[in-house]
Parts: sequence; C-alpha cells; structure tokens
Amino acid sequence: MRRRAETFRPSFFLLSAAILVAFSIAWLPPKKDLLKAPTTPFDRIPVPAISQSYRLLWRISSVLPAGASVAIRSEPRNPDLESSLFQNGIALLNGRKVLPAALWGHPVPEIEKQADFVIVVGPKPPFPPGTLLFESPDGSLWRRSRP
Amino acid sequence: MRSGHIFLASFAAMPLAGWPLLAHPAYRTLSRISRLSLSAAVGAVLVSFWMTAFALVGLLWRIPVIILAAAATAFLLRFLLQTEHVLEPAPKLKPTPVEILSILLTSIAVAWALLAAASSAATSVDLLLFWGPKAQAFASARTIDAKFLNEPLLVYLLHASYPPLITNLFAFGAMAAGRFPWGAAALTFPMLLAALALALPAILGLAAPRPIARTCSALIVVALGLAGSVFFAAGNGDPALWLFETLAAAVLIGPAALTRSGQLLAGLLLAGAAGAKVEGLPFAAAVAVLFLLVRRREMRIGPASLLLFAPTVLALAPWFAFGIVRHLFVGYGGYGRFSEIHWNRLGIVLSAIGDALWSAAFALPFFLPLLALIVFRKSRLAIIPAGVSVLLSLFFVFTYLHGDPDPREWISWSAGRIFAPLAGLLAIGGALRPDGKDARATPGLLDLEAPMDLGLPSVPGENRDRQ
Repeated sequence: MRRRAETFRPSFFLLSAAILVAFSIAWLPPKKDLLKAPTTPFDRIPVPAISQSYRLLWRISSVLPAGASVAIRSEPRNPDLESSLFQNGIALLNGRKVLPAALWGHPVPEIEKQADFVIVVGPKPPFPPGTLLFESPDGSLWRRSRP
Repeated sequence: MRSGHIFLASFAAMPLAGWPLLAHPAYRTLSRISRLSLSAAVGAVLVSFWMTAFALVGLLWRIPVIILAAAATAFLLRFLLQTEHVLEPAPKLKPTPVEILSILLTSIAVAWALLAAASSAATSVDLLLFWGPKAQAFASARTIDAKFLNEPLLVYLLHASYPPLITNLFAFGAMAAGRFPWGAAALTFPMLLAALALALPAILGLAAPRPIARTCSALIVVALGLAGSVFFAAGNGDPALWLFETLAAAVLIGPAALTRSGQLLAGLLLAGAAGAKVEGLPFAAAVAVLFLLVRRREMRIGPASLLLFAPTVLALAPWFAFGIVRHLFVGYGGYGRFSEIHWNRLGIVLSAIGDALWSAAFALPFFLPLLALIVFRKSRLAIIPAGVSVLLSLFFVFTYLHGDPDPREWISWSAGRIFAPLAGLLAIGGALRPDGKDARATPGLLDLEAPMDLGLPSVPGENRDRQ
C-alpha cells in the first residue's frame, strides 16, 4: 500500500512538471520570431515603447559626447512617456547628464531647457530645437540653439 | 570576446570564492555538482558582502582583491566546522527511468528559460529602471556610488535602500566586462535556474527518497522557469532570490539542518535571500524562526540560531551602515506609513493577486505544488515550508494594502514574481518522507532492496521523535 502511494508521488511530480513544460513551450513567441535575433533585450516584452527608445538611445550613446547634458522628449509630446524616457536615458546614456523633460507625468520645462542636447523620440518635431546631429527611424538628436 | 560573454563568464569567480567552504568533508554527502552550485551561491554572498564592506570603508573595488577576500572568508568559515563528523559521499546509483525523465524535463525548462531570455521575451523592465543603472554606475565608480543614489531627481526611481547583492554582482560582472551588457544581464535568469537545477536534487535527496527528490526538483525548476518567463523576471533580482530561498528551505527541512555544516550553509543562503531583495528578509526571518520552533527538540537552539541569523545580520549590517553614514537611508523604504492599512482595498488586492497568478498557466505553477503539499504531506516538518508560504503571503497582502490608492497595476506586474517562491516551498513540503523515517537510511522508491546505510553519521537528537 505504502509502496503504491510512494509510486504515485514521483509520478504526480513528474506529470505536473510535464504539464508546466508544455505551458512553457506554448507561452514562447512563435518559432519564426524566436529565430530572429532581437535588436534590443526588450523587443518582445509587451511595452513596445521601451525597445524603440532603447534602440535610439543605444545608437545615440556612441554619438553624444561624454559629460554632455541631454533631455529626452517625445514627438508628439507625452509627459507620461517622457517620464519613462528620462529613466531609460539614465540607464543607457551612462556618463552623460540626463535631464528630464517630464517627471511623474508632469512636464518640467525649466529643467529640460538646461540641456545642451535634445533627443526626440518619434518623428522630427515641427519646430526643430536646434541643429540636427543624428537621425534614425526611431528619433533624432539635436544640439540646442542658444539665443 | 564580447562584453556580454565576459560579464557572464565573470560569475565563474563565485564558485571559486565559495569552494573553500563547500570542499569541507562535512558537505561531501552532497554530489560534487551540487556542491559546485552551492559554492557559487555562497561565493556570491561573500563577494557581495566584501563589496559592500569595501564601499563602506571607502576602498575602491578590485576584482582580484574581492575574490581573494571572499575565498579567504569561505576558508575561515571551515573552522566553525572542525568538530563536524566527516560524511561519506552518497553512493552513485544508476538513474532510474523516472529520474531520467526528471532530468529531461529540467533540462527542457532551463533551455526554454534560456530561449525566453535570449529572445528578449522575458526581460524585466526593472532591469532598465534601476537594477542596471545602479550596477552600471557602481561599476564606473568602482564602489557603491552614493552620489548617484542621492541624485535628487533619481532618489526615488533608483530605490536606493534596496539590498545590494544583485547590484553588487552585476557591477562585478560589468567591471570585468568593461561595460554593463544589458542583454547578458537578462541571461542571468536561465543561469540561476540552471544553478538551482544542479544544487536542489542532492539537497532534497537528504530529506526525501531519491525519485521523489528528483521529480520534486524538476517540478520546482519547471515552475520557476515558467514563472520567470511569464512574469518577466529576466535581469532582475527575483531569480537569485528564488535560488537562495528554495535552497535554504530545502536544507532546513532535511537532516543536514541539525548539523553545524547544514545550519551554516542555510544561514549563508538566507543571507543571500536577504541581500537579494527586500522580501528576502521576511522570508529569512520566517523560515529560520519556524525551523527553530518546529525542530527545537532535535538540536541546541543557541548555536543553531547564531549560525542561521548571523550571516544575514553580517551581510546587511554594512549596507545599512553605508546608508546611514552616506545619508542615503535608514532601513528599507516602505510604501506609506506602517499603520495606514487600507482594509477597504482587501477585495481589490486579493482579486488582483488572483488575476496575476492566474495569468501564468491558470495558476498551475502554484496550484500543482499546493496540491502536492495537501495530498502528500507526511511529515510534521512540512509545516516549515507551508508556514513560511502562509506568512509570506500575508506579508505581501499586507504590503499591497499600503501606498498606492489603486494597487491593481502595481500588483499586476509584481505579484507573480514575488509569489513565485511559494511554488518551490509548497512542493518541498509535499516531498518530505514520513516522520520517523530516517531521511538518509530510507532507500529510494525504486531501490527498495538497496543497502539502507548511506554511511551518514547519526545526528544528536534525531531519533527522539521516533521513540
């Protein structure tokens, strides 16, 4: 009797593991997507804005001088998105002084205007903030024009 | 060699740092591969401890110095075990078909976690928000960068008071690699899952018959692999927390927990849990206290308490001292005042937790281990993992009843990850052999005719419950 019960225990664990493995396999994106190398570590998470800004900031990090002050904004302007972009900039623009265009969903223009460079995520803005230094489908980098 | 490869390869220093302790004969009852994986876990705790201590006293980090300090500490810890019995290695038995299937399922789970992490399908946003930026800044500064943590615009975003183990280890890898490789950081998830898969079967095998230990380990690894992918844990602190918590719990429900070597190992793993994430501290407290209460008649409480709690205290002391000395924090930041409990949100909180857990294969990674515990609970020791699961759940619900007026979004992205260790704890509770059965003298299920004595010494007090 005990032997039968003890036989059942590993079988239960094994069957449970097999069920969860099946779910793991089913959860992953389709095979044809998986075999394509991601362009960023965030390509397939359900927050697409992150991979777009990651791609852009990663490329800009090789163009933007060390120690430069930079603000990151979106086009069209979206304070919620710009708050996230500030955090992404802190991560990906190491060695630069990253300033927010918005914090906690509220625009902070008095801080943003202190930056010497402006990154615009999305299409080119209708009123260019300065001299265009870099452009990609994900956004652009500008040196701010000072009066 | 690309920086990502160097970053990952640098973690090979962890087993080097921890091996002097795990090479002690007291641990030889565990398989070599299990000890290697455990030495990586112990080495990580010691490396992080020295990185924090160096930062506290203002010494810049140098990789060889850190490794040497950690390895020397591991060596000195051996002196605590001098009076230990010398254990014979467990005999090598031919794997049974059930065990081969367990190994196969475990391998698939680790491979799938690797695929999920490498394909960017499981990456945690927290990697980009604070784990990565902190590690990157620390690596650049070659210390815990108090100026960065204290930046007025970043102070809340970076969660300055979060415990230091993950950021220290990521900074360690980034120093070796020359920069912080974001994609490689996500691959620490399958790496830690593999470490768990290598260490757990042998530890659990001390408390459960071999086929049950192997199959239960497979279930735990598969459940955590699925949870890590579905709840986007790659690159954040959770996989390390799961490793430390699961291994510590597995040690404490077995006969090794009645020996000094077992208690020291469990203490170091608990220090790892407490150093990895905030919720590791309540886990460490809950499991250690329950262990001491449930098994108090089997050992001397004083020395056991010291071995279990001292590593956590010593690991966190330099961190909190650093916070105070650099005017960064005093204790952990919370989610509002302790007494401000919004009981009216209880329904919302419970329902949101249910939704979050349900999103992972209809909550099966939690339900199947729970079912195992209910159906197969044969030992009073199961109260340790079961009790910890209850206490942790209450702690998480209590936390969610604070802070954010509408906690649903917060719960949706965090609950799955923080509840995930329960899968391991519950399964462990269902794997224990019946009370009165000597954990190490009971033969495995499929080797009933095998020799009973595995060559392990008797542990003082272990027979009392049988009389």
